[in-house]
Amino acid sequence: MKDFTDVCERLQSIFHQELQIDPPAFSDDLVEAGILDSMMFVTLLMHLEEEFGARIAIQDIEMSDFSTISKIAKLVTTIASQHAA
Amino acid sequence: MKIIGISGFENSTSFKKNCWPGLDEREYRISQGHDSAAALIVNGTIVAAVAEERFNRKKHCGDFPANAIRYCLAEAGLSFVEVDELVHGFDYTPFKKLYSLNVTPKDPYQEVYSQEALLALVNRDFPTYPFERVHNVQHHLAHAASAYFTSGWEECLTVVIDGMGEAYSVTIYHAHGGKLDMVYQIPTVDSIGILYSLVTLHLGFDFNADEYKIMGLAPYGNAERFRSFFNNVVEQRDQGTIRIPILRLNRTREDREFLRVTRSYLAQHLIEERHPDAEITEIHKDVAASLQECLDRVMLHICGYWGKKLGLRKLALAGGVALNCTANGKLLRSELFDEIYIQPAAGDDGTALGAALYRSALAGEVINRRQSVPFLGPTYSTEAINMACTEYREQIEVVRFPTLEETCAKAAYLIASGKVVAWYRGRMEYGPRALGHRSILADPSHPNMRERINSMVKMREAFRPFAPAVSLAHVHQWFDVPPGTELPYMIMIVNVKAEHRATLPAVTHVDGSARVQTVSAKDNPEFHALLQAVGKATGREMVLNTSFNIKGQPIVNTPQEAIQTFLHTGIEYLFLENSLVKRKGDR
Repeated sequence: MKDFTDVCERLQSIFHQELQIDPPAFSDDLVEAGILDSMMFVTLLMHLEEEFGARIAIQDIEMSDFSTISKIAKLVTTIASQHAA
Repeated sequence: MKIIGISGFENSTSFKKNCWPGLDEREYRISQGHDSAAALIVNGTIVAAVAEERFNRKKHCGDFPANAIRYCLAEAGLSFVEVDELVHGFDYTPFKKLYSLNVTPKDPYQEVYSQEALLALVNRDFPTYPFERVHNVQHHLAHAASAYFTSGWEECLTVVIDGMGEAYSVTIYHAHGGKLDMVYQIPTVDSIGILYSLVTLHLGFDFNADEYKIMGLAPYGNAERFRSFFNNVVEQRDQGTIRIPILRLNRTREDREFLRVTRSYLAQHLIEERHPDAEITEIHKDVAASLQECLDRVMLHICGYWGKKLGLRKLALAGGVALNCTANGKLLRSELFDEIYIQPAAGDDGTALGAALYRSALAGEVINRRQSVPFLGPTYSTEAINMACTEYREQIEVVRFPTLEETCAKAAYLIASGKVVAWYRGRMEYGPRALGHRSILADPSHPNMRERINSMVKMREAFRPFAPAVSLAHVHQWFDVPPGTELPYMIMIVNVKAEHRATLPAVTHVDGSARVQTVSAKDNPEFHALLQAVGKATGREMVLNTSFNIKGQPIVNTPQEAIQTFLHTGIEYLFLENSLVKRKGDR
């Protein structure tokens, strides 16, 4: 659980430092709050790859996986574990 | 295979106008998909390419290029149903889901960017064309293909740098073995092209159109004045990347569409916005100088890093930013690369060619050879020229010469006498530059020639320089380049030799530079013949060469347009192929 929290905090840091967006709470709805638009989303994907090695093809994304920090953390953790396997 | 590539988004600007009506017309140029064009490849060979603006006379327009397509078909004697593929130099399909994030009054993906929107336009203008033959190529891949597959190199670094493609502003490719391997991308939120365009807008010029004017203004200014501002705004980072935090300040949809918060930032922290009609003062020149210096730095940073990282000493460039001749010249002189090739139609019109080349290469048909001077547009027969002359017979007199040699001798005599001459012959150029087929020419040694042409002919800003066209054999005599340096596309700035600057006032910029075009008998034979004749008359195989158009209009296409432009300007003589046109009553 500590690891998961750590991933969430690193994601908050990406939002704050790289996207220049006030760090959302883990369960804030990013889409409903209008935090992400298409261009910021592409930038987020780039940082997910740089920070977590999680390469996510744009055509494969499911928007529901990106609705909150927690869900993004779950996604990148899953991808990272798949890579490790 | 017969493949037509196209560029542009017809609905892009109108979509913005519908969603956000009543704004300044200049703001609507902050949009995607200008400079529509069509290009035809048959069995791997480039047959024809032309921008739509040359037919509909709307400069930089993004309209569906129906006229350009019809011209390409006519050039090859084809009907559209014989064309195996129609390929668009954009592919937004993978981004469909992302556009659901953008809360807009209407859906831009569906109305502008989707394949359905494209098919509706195809159906409108070519209703019998089968939809299954319509394809898309990612924007930067189309740019990259236009550069790599016309470079003549088996392996090179290929860099695409523009305002934005679908979502990226820079894409780095390792091109080798007929493939383009994507290595790295910089997203649109860090677009140096968009920043350059925004400052262009801020200085009272047009976004996505007038960036070359800022480049021309820059040498008048002092780059030191705003150097620290741009150094802070554009962060150079490791791995040959950059970050531009002020482009991320926009939060609401409307702010994002028109980059309002970034523009406010420029007004608060750089200088206040200049009205287009206001005087250009030192502060505007200094901003231009600092911006240009910033772009030069970024281009060296990005291209230099990736060239070294991949161990590549040949660089092929495309994308709208690659039209910046000053930055290109800095790259050329940096010694970061042994050779640099810039695809001459580097702007979005060039993605029509690139999209077609990419698909043709997939079919294994493209032979990668260096593109000659891109005379890929329409030409007009002697009969068509004679008809045009007859149409205007009340206003003009025509003298016909039997040979090119005699035509060149007469034109050279007039140029040497200080006359301004329009030179119209052969196939029109593809890309933004007139390279000797739709040109206005004059002697570069006349001290007041720049002012004369700027005010009488081009009706354009007085600060803008003109370019020299010089025979390849003589380029090193006048300019700081090694003998035989080929610069056939007028896309690089080099220095005029110090001892010649005073003798070439009309083409030497305030900083001693010039945007040189070299002309060879192999690639541009008729223009070369003229330069040789000019050499006999003046002692210099060189002319001032500027595009045959007036401010705000595209380069002339038809003989009628050539005569109309001639009659409405101060151009003194017009050569339509071997016919000399004068105003009635002129001696």
